[in-house]
Amino acid sequence: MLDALLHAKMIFLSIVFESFPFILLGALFSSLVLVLIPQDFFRRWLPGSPWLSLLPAVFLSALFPICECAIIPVIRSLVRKGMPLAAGAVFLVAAPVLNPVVAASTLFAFGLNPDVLILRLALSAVAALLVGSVVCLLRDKLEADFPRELPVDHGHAPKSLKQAKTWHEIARHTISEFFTVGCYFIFGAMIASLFQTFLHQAVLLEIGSAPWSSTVVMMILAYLLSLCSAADAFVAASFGAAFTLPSLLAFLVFGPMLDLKNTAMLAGCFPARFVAVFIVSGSLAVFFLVMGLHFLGVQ
Amino acid sequence: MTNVKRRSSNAQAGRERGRNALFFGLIQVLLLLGLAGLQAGLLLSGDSQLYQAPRMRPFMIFSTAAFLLMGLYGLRTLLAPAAEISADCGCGHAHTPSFQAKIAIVVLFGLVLSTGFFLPHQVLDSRVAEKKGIALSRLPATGVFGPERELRLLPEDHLFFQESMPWDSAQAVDLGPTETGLDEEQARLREELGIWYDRELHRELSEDLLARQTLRITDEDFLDSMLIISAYLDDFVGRHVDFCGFVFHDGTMAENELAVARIAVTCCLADASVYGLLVRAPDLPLPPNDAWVRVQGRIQKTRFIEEDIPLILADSLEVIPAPEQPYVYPRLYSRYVLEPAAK
Repeated sequence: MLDALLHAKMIFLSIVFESFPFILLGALFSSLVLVLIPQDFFRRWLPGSPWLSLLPAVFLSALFPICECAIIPVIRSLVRKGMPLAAGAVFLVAAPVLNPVVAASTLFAFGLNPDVLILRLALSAVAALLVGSVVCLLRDKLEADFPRELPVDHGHAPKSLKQAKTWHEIARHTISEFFTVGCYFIFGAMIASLFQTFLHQAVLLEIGSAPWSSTVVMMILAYLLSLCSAADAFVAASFGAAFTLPSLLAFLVFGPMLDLKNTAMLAGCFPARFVAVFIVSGSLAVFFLVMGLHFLGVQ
Repeated sequence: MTNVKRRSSNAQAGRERGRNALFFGLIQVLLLLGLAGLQAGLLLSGDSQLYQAPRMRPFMIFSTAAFLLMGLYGLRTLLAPAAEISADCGCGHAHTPSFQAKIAIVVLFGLVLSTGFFLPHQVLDSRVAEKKGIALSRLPATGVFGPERELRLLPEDHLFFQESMPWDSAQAVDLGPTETGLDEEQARLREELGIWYDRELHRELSEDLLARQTLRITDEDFLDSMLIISAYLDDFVGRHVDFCGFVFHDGTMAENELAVARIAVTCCLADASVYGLLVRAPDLPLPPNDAWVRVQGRIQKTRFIEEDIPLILADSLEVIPAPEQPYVYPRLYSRYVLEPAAK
């Protein structure tokens, strides 16, 4: 037992050390957004209806080379600055997958076979649009939960980078953001390491190999293992033989969007109602998209 | 009079708030410097390799430096609370977290520091194989789209996959060479290895291994050699082999069989997976799980759910001390990251 706990501690610290650099970068970007983006930026540049922001958000998320740990504080800052919540939801689903590092590792892990990569990117983009649409439909309720005092009356006007004061503000925000987000992250990593140590994967795999059950199994596994989106393709590849491609895609699309560690971070950064809508619509979107692939006969 | 009183109590509350902010600021500085110290210690002692693949090291150096800078910056704001850098930026809302959030921060970051500083390191062992299964021959690959690239399902490499899911041999389609200039086995290797495949390296290693009657497999070459032996299995049958790993034995193996395995780490220990060679030792006493052994024996092949996998007939099993570097890494990375450092 003691041995098992030490084992869990090794995995816990390993996840923590691996993710800290990216959480730091996320905290830094989010502070830059808070301090430097002018208050009326989104009102000026975004289309009037939030529906029109969904598609641009998918393309923009491909430009952000940012992974799942870093994205959450950044999106919170952007939403505080007035970005529609629906666009934020699109980023949360798509950005961790649509980026060059993840694309490269997916390509390599599956033997330079582009099919997996193409399907992974396409499914993530579609899932992001679906989740964004749900948030859009419910926007009246969800937006009301979100504290947006910042863009309206907060004193954080656009700052000049030449002033020392701006840099102090960025530094202070980065430190406080790191502690807030890091705190939730550490909690998530702790739970994930316990599952890594004590969960017999064979138990999960015994649930079944029918299309729907293997899809559910892969989504649960992705959620519990809490892998980083740059490394999960290698783990998925090692399952290859036991699962059909759509089930592996469930693992590859669902894991980056939702897992133990980032659920903890989401819960810390966003209102409960939004988190609930995000989790439910995200899980259903991935499940039905993957079932669609099964149905089309993709193997 | 009351007015004055209220003002003075306000000032007192303000001072109280200031003291609290100062105290929490001090705690944050200690946590940041603690994290920097912990990570720097791991990096300097080389123990960071027990937690991460070497390719993540630059990122850890970055975060260590960032923690140090942030800690020093926090210290400076505590010692010299000049107007422009003081905790109150005059924007009228709280930048400091609530009391409960402060407790959570202290407890959770404290957990990282205390487990990091005070608990011993432990190398991951056969527990990983128990929970995640073990690959005994090679990485499977999947493919879709197009008639020329046929779907190929390999037999389940993970032991427990075989028990729960029978493999349908009718679905297996052999792939021919997909690239001219590569012979069939190399093409298969490339298909199967993905990132693990490096044309020059695997060619060289294949030729090198094929030219020898006795294969001595080093730690660095463990994964690649194992995969090459699987790919050219017929050529290797009967040759002598000499390699090290830890013992893993589970209920699905015969009485006199064991796997001698290594743990492969891509980024961090969460993605650790176990690769091993099946060893049969008819007349030798079997060491317990997690004992490190050096195996000398001859390569045979055995049928393992419709697939030939290598089986090592052991002539000797020698218990050895655990190696300095317990994990193995995908070669493509180790080639760039480990070798320049080793020179």
